[in-house]
Amino acid sequence: MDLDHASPLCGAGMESDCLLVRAHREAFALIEIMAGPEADAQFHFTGIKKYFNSYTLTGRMNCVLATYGSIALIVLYFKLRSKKTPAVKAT
Amino acid sequence: MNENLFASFITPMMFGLPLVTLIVLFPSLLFPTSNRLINNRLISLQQWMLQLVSKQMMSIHNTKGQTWALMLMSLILFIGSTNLLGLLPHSFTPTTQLSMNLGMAIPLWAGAVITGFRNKTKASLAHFLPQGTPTPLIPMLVIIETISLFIQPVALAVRLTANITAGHLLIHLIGGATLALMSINTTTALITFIILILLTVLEFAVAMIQAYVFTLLVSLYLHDNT
Repeated sequence: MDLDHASPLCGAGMESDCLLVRAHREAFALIEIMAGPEADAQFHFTGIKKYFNSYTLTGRMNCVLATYGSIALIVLYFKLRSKKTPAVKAT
Repeated sequence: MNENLFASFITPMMFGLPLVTLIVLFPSLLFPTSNRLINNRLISLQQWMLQLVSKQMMSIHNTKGQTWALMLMSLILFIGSTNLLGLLPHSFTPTTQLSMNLGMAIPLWAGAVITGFRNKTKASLAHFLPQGTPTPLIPMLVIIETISLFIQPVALAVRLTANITAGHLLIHLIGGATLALMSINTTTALITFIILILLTVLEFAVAMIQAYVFTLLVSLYLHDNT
């Protein structure tokens, strides 16, 4: 990303807007650097933490999928349980 | 006055036929196209403004994101021109209708999210969990992030609707108050009239800012997913 190529506002006497545009672009650049496969290499997890952690991309994805899977299982369990138990018990 | 407070938000009809389609299409007449290399003053000014906005908005995007340039520029032009035209007295503003704003927000947001899931599935799923979250908080944060994702189009639409509607209502109320006070106390009516002028100036700014905010947020969602 070329941050030096400013918007038409820069150099037209509107320095505050130029700074705003640069800050906007730098913030987006920082977000891109922070998260990504190249950042995952700095973490060295072992065991289950290698696959389930909140630092690497894979770890975060697996945690998210595990959470959704757990919710789906809980919903499925209650649905099947309500089908098995009759609504009114015969006396 | 009170019973007519919401009359300006009713979709206009003429001989039983809705005029909404004509009203929605009208702003496009204000942006004429030209096949000349050097255009007249109006078109040159519009092209210059469009270039300024598109350069600022699309510079953060990569190649994939920049394919949305036409969509985003059309969006900002449409919302901006519709909002500004709505400030004319006795006119109807389509962007005060939640249905219309939802109709704009949901497809654009869904398009960005589906693009993200198709092209960067791992990163899109990982996005639901902020980096560095403590382990006990993971399930709760995933649920919260999921809810915040689905709230985005609703927030987009409601933000635009509420801002424009509230502004129109305020103008209506303060205008009515100015008229009512004229026969009671001229000085107070004059102060109210000054407030009305300031509010109208504010509404012009809000009209343009809301168009920019809507488009910028769609651009942000696109940037997160491309």
